[in-house]
Amino acid sequence: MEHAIELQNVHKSFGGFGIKDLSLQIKKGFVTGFIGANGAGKSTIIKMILNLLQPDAGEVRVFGMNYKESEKMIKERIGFVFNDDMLYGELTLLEMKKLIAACYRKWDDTLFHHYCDRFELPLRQNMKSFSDGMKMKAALAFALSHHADLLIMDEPTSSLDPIFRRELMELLRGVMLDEEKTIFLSTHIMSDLSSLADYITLIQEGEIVFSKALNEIEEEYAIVRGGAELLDKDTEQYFLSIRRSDNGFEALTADYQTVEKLFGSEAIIERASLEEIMYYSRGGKVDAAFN
Amino acid sequence: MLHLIKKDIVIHKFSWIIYFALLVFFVALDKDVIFIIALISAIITMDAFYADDQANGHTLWNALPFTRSEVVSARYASLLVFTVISMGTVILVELIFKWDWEPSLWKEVIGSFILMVLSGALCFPIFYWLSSQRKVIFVLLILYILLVIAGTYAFYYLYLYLSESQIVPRTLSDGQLFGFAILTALCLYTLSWRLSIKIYRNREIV
Repeated sequence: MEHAIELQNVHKSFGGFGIKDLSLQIKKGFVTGFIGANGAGKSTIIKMILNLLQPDAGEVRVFGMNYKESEKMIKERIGFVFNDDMLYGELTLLEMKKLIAACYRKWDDTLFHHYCDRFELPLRQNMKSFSDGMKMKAALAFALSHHADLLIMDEPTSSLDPIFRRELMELLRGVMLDEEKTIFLSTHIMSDLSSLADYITLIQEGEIVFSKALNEIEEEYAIVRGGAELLDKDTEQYFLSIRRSDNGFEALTADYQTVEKLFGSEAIIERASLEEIMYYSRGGKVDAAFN
Repeated sequence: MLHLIKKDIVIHKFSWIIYFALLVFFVALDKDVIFIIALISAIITMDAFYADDQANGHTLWNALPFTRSEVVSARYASLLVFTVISMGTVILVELIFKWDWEPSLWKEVIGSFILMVLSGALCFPIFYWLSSQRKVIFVLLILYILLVIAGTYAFYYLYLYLSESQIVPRTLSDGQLFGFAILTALCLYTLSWRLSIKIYRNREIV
């Protein structure tokens, strides 16, 4: 299957933070949620995908092309949304649109105005008076108005209210009706992903912990709670992370069925949410490639 | 790239009125033409760098379909555009105010162009090298303006010295001298442009 994004053996040292030998593939035609704690390396990887940061070693390919040879062609096909404010405060949205629209060959003015109406964005108001949520909506309108094949979003929902967050998820689901589109989205809000993402990539301290289909994660990962007497060398191997307390233990497993057979009714076994997986899986590393 | 130059002009918006008012103010004060052109061009350039910095422009324009070479080249071209706009406006305002144009003022106009090209050649690579540290950019831009102001006086006294020393007038006419100076300045500007591209290509945009 063709990949929209491929990172191969990427190394990057950056201000006391490091990514070592990271490989990752993002499938074309799907939504991939990119999750991880603050400082895990999500933004660094997104910036490498956009060629804002260059890897010390390894290769980044987008749509099978590299930036050295096809920078403009790649960027034409990407719509991006960053968490940072990237608009000129003194300009109105209409003036900013004129600047950005001219950069893309496939810019669709009708579509842009449709999104501005839908997001209730004032076209003739200086953007310095925009709230954080409005700025994010403006960035979304820009990203969605040039028929990009790949949408890269770095925490787009963090400054949005719950109502618009839900609307955005609806909108992105609409975008994905076109099978040629790909969305790569980093977020801290896991509920956004459970309704939208096809795949989840978890990053921890610059390393990919896993990159799997969401339904696979839901089937495989579980939280196990039980008495300390259940733990020994043989049983511990099924856990990615174990937290012990005076009363027993809580652990994360990526092998739900085996653990269920092993412990039966002796332990409480529940499907793990993405938050729980993120919380418990610190330090564990599994194959990063999609199966 | 033309689009990036247009962006450098558009982002000033109403500030153009302030620049124009400042220019008229200095003409009314009868300040030297070289000083007015150089100062106004330097302020516009400084403002372009500062506005980009405030709006995370490096991230924005490098994520849009432009190469880093284009981003840098556009700023080098923009400085020339700002200088030519300032030159044209000062000439116009001088003519309107005084109904007269002393022929010697051409030397000041060309001198201001040389000065802007030289100061850009010197400062732009430093901006691209250090401006990733956001706190530094404001100080750098102020130093740039001070350098341009100092440059106007340096230019004036250098020209005076060369004229009085009789070394240059004996071998070169004024036209040849300014032609040579423009050529040298543009060569340095080209070298500086290549250096800035090299610096900016390796820059981490965070």
